[in-house]
Amino acid sequence: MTESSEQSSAADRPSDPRSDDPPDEAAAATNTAGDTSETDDLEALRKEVEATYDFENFGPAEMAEMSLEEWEAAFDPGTWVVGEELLDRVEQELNARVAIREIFAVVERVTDGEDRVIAYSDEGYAVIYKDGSVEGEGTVLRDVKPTVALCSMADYELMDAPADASLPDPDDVPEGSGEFGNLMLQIVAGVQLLVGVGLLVAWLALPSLSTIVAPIASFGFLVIGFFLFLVVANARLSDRFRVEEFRARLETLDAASEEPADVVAEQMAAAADEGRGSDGGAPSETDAPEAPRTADTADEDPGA
Amino acid sequence: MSSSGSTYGDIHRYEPARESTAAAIAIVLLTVIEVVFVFLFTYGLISGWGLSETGNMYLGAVLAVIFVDLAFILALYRKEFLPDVMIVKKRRRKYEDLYIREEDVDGTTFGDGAWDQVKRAIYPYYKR
Repeated sequence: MTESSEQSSAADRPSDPRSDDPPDEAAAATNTAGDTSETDDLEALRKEVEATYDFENFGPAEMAEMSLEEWEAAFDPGTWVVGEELLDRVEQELNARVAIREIFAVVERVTDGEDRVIAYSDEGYAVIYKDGSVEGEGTVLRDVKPTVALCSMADYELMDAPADASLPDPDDVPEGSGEFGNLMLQIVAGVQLLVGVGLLVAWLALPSLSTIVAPIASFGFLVIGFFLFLVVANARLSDRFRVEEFRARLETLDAASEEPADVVAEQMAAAADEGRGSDGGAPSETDAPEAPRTADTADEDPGA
Repeated sequence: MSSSGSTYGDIHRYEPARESTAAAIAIVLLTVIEVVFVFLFTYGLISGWGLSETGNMYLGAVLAVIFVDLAFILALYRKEFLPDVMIVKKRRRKYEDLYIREEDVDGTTFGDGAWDQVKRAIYPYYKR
């Protein structure tokens, strides 16, 4: 994707034309109430939009071409979940995703002032507002965006969050995993080394064993044995470092969440700097919402 | 999609290994089999089983069992005895990212039609 300015892509309108809802369905579901002349105007504009744009073949370039009026005529906001309900859904979904460790963040619902859901970690934050706009920065923003898009679709079924849906306590992270598997692997490696050395010695010492197969097999056993010991050593070392690092990360997060007001204030200040001006603008290519990703790795995009 | 604030190497998820009982029993059995067959192979080789036709086949089968067994041990170890770790990495551009936009799905055409392709293929020889 060619999203160049992550920081400024604050407003992600949930009305995403690339999502499952076909636009004509959205148009059909418009409310019939309201001023008749206004409705007629809207109807005319909608017809015009449908004639102008080919929604079967609709991409970011066409999106950028549309004006705001055309956009709002074609995509009825009523078909998307917004407001209080959206925040509830987003909160539950985010908690569930944190519980299965798909998102690394602390999720909070802030009700003083403007109602909003905040997710933050040491690597960024995301603030979700009632209208479905998301702002923030870092990996959290990237992880949260598709969740908000999903939750704004009425037919998306939420995941069930467990009662204690939060990141683990730093002290609860076990010091390395069990030694049992390592022990088994070490037994196998030891036997292979022993046999390898034994075969080599037998080949040198016994005159009856003159076949070339013996040293080759012995070399093979020695290689396997070394490899297995290497695997175990690597597992232990990397395990220790990773546990340490994960704990450190959780601890910084813990320290931050002890003073939520400060963090929130800081976030709000940061958010104010970026401004929410891009909220209602015509959707451009750069802040086109991403399709929800369910990738298994926390990949970064190229050319970040 | 890019996230400028992220640090590569950050640990996103660290779940300790499952180490289920079934896996523990299985890996113990596999280890015992491995040890027995490694010794059997060595003993057979030293006592010259491989010199007769049947004995040779037998030794080969034993070696095959050793390798297959080792593969299962490693697979079990990886799945059940190593922690589930997810780390932030940088995704490099790959060949498959080349025509990632929908309108570029067919790539860039070299010529128009089969006859054009033939002409382009023949041209260098024709010139010579």
